[in-house]
Amino acid sequence: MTIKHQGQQYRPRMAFLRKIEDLVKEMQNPETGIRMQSQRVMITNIPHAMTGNDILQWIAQRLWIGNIEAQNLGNFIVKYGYIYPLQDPKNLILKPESNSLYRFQTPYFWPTQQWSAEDTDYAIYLAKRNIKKRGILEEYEKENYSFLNKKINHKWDFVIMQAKEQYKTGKERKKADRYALDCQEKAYWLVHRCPPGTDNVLDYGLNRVTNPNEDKKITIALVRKENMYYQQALMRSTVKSSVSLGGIVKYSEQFSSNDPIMSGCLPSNPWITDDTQFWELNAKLVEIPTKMRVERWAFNFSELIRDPKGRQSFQFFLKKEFSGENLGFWEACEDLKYGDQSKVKEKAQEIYKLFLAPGARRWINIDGKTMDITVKGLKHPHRYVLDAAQTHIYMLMKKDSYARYLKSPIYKEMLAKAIEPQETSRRSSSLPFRRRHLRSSPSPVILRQLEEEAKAREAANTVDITQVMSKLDRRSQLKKEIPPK
Amino acid sequence: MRGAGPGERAREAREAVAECRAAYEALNRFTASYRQLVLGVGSSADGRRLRRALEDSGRRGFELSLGLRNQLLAELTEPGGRQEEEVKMELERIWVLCLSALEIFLQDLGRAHDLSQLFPLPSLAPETQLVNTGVTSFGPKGWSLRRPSGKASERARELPEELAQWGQRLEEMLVEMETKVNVPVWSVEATVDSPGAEEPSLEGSAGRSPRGCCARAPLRLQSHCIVA
Repeated sequence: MTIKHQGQQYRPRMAFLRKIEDLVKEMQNPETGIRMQSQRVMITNIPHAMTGNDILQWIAQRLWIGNIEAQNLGNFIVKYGYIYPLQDPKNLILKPESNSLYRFQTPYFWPTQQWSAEDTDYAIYLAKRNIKKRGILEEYEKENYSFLNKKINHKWDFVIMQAKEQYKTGKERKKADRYALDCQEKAYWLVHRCPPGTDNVLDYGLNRVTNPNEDKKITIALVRKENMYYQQALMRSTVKSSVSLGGIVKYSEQFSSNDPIMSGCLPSNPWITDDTQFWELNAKLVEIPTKMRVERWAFNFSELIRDPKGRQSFQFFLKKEFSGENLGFWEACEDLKYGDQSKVKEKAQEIYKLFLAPGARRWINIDGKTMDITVKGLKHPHRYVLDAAQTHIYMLMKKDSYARYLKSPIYKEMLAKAIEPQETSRRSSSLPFRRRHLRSSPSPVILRQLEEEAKAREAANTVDITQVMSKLDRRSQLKKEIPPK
Repeated sequence: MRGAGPGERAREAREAVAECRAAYEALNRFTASYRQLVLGVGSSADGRRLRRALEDSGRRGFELSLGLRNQLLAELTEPGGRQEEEVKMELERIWVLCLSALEIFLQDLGRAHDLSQLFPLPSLAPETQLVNTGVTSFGPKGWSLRRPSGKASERARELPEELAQWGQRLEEMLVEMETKVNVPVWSVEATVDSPGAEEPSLEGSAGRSPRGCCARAPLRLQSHCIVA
């Protein structure tokens, strides 16, 4: 309906359409345009037909381009529906022979930016053809027809009535005109509802939010906004392309052996051999990870921290060093950023109580300035309010704990225990009793529940430095209090 | 003694519905003919006659649509639940039909406007030619528009002169129609069997089924519509 919902409702500017239109208009000139002939259909003569060769030559001459480029351009013009072929209507290319005929499409049927080819019109067209001769629709058209019947069922009465009317008025025209008009309409719908297997050349992606035809008045506010936009663009950090390209090359070299597509995977690619061992061995929190996975953790810190098993091992190590709260804080920040946003306030409060407040249970060590910024930001919490603190802690872990982790016995043990699976070849055989039964993997809902339970258990069991210290303090105090005998 | 009660009212209501339907059919016919005209703009069938015919028929179309709308509004906003279910359903059906026809008419109006600007006729610059499409005459033989039914044209109000203005007014009218009167468009069921579809259309045969669960109940609740 005409009520347009807010948001994306504008078709993007398709500038090329205007250019083709200008060219097509020039083609009409009786002196400098394309030579016209008339087409003979049974007993009627329909004027204004052209041969493909003539069109090609005209384009090449007018634009001073070679034949290949003219052919390409001619193909475009036909594909977009400004010119349609008469003998082979479905094949939308420009055949440069002198016996292939074409005709211009009427401007009503030109593709434009403002008017899209509506479903209702298409339904009316299909209904019209059906009324003319039942069963003449092609397979894909029949499918479209039934689909539209369901989609705009409430308008169907209108569709049928209008189709009948249009058919009647169409019949009242001169025979030659009627033929030409039918060809035109058919060509239009071949472009705008193309048969399966052909490219939809008018596909432009999603509708846009702003109206490209809108004239933007130059006001102070607009100029100010543009200023701000460009200033921010200038402030963005830039990297020389040689540096970033070198980075990509290094990354590719390092990870090439780990990439299942580039270097194959062990035991075998499940998509090929139907053997799901690869997924089972590489599950998120599997008991014993694979060797490749553990080796990957040594590449850089982000690899370690993005792998849940790596995080688990790292957390174990950090607890031994009494800096477990760092990773805990980092994980809590990630949850705040990417988790349920309706609970942002509560989450931020909890994080403050647990990690940031003076005397908190798992107090993290960040510098005064960052702490100030964070505490101030927490007054109006949002997703990224803890970004500064999180970055600080991340850098701390990366520069400090990570190196020690890689040298630690925990990591070395993990590396030693890691398994290197044997390669398996194609296993699924045709004999039913030998075929491996494929079970579906556990439901993600259950997996998530298990994860949350594990997290809760972790949180309950966490040994906090402050508690330990306070316990030690109390014990030493008690010792002092017991009078020496 | 004549029963001046329900019998008479029912007959009146049915007459009114029949009038609306006739007016709608006129609009339907008109839309189809108008489309034939617009098909010719910019093509080799274009000319002063075509443009003049466009203007005239645009005006008539506007009259028709205004008339139909006012008539329908008058019927749909009869106070109280005086109308029977069938009559109300029929009116809603016509309302939806009217909306759809108006949409198409509006689209064609807009297209005519754009195309007329693309090929400005009276002052045809030497470079702009009309597109040779093979079509040489602009309208069907015996081109004439049926006169709109008496009542409908009576209820039409003053008409703005220019094509662009009509488009705008029509669009506003359409938006009004969609928002002010509370007829859920999607609840109308098709009465026509869709010919040629592979599967038999289930909806077509169920066209007249009374008391669909979702459709009728909310309508009952609003016994009066907000009118522009």
